[in-house]
Amino acid sequence: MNMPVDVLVIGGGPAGIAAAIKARENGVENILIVERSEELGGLLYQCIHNGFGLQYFKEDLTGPEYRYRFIQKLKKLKINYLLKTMVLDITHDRQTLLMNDTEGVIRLNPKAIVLAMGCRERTRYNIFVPGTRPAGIFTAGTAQRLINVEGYIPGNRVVILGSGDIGMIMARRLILEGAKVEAVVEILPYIGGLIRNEVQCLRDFDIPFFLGYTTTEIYGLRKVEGVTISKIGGDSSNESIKDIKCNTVLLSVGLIPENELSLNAGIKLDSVTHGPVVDENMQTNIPGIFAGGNVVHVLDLVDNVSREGEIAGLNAAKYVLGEISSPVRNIKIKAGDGIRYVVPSYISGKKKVNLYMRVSEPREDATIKVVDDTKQDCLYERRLAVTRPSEMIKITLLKGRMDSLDKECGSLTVSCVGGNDNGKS
Amino acid sequence: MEKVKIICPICPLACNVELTIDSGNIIAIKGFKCPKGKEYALQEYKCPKRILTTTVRTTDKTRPLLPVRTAGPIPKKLLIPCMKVLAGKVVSPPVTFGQVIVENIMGSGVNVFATREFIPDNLENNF
Repeated sequence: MNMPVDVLVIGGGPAGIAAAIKARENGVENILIVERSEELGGLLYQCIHNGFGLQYFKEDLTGPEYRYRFIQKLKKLKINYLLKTMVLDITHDRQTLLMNDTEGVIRLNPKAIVLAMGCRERTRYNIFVPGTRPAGIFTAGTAQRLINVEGYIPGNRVVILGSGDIGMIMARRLILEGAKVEAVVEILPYIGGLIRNEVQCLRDFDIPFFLGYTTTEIYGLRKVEGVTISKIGGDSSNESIKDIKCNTVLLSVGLIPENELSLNAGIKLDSVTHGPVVDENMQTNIPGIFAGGNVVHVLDLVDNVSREGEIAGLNAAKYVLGEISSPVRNIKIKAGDGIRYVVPSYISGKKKVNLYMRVSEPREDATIKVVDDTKQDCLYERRLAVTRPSEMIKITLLKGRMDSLDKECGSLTVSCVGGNDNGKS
Repeated sequence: MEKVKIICPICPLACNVELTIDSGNIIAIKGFKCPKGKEYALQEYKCPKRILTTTVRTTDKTRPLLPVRTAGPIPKKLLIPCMKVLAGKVVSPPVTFGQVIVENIMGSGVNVFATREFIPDNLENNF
């Protein structure tokens, strides 16, 4: 197989599809998406619930419907893709090794690459839950596949550890399918996912949830028999230590960007996001390699994944067409007080840029500030009635605001300060 | 008089709207920061509605389930009864995207349709 490829997109999920569409719309002819699984669209096919597309399409769509719209567009633009094809290696000069069962090993040397591998669920071993190792422990996403695609219910008495969105959505799904959800247990003092999921998944079905509790034991020999949960900072009273009988445990304890390939290519990863360090064009430290979506940082909504894929795709196209070159390193963006991280990490200060960030904890009436570290000038200030770690914040820095910046070695610090931390959970 | 608290899930503000009820009538409403929150809380008190998303069985072993949804929100109290109706539903492919699977489910006036296509003869081009 010998095909000229200008933009190679690794991963056929929402970020990869959006990137490929945008690259084509900006004049790139030879685009190839490489997808490991049997179909395009990533995990949208198993996310049968609604809540997708509210921002992108201004409509309340289910995962399969959101996927359908993007794939229709991809087909219309006649963008090539390979399914059941694994990328084995990418080098720093973008030589790429792929493999599938019809072509064998394929070597490509694309002019630009977009990384869109998405993310992976954290498992029991990422959070160290003590106890036995019986059958009946699943990640929320695996349970979602079993229930929504394969047609199996993993169990009928379920405890969900973690209050991420997939966990809460699975709580509702299990109840609708006739199982009993005994509890949702969250280590933090607030719910981890979106408010609408707390309302429509947990409160609608009166599912008990315990905030500020950790799981101190999963027990049972062959099959899960129950879990013990303990209040953080609690004592040995019955209020602090609870025993919950169940036959299934689901884990909804966060996601990690999938970056084995990025590491091989010599791409620098951020220690907070676990994704590539990117500039305002979503370009990594390796020229011509871009990244977008959950591979960079775990986003809250698929709408934002698509948008970020589009930025990566657009700039990969510009790179191929010679409109941009090496990664921007002019001005560094730092996460200050109250901010967990900011994407991108570097900007030029020469054009309008969107910054995406997550706060460290819930707050009311806090102020997001962007300060020039050299001159201590405040370039941006916005008060927000409520900020929550589960919801990303997007701010736009206009070009005019950055005129005074040192374009060679400046830095900006973004912080979220003031207000109070009694943010509603 | 009775106080009813409703969390509005429409935006991240998540307003805690409080309704004051006197013998079944809403006599006061406070805590909302926009008209949507007021409207939501009133609807939620009178007749809470939700979109139902689930699956139905197919006759095909390679793809045993087909995802479906209600075209619009249905009364919350109909969610479980509708699940029971859909549990008994088995569809035979081919199914087109948006094909109606159950009309006017439980007399709600809302159709249930397929959110994915399933054409076994052309699986590669199936979305």
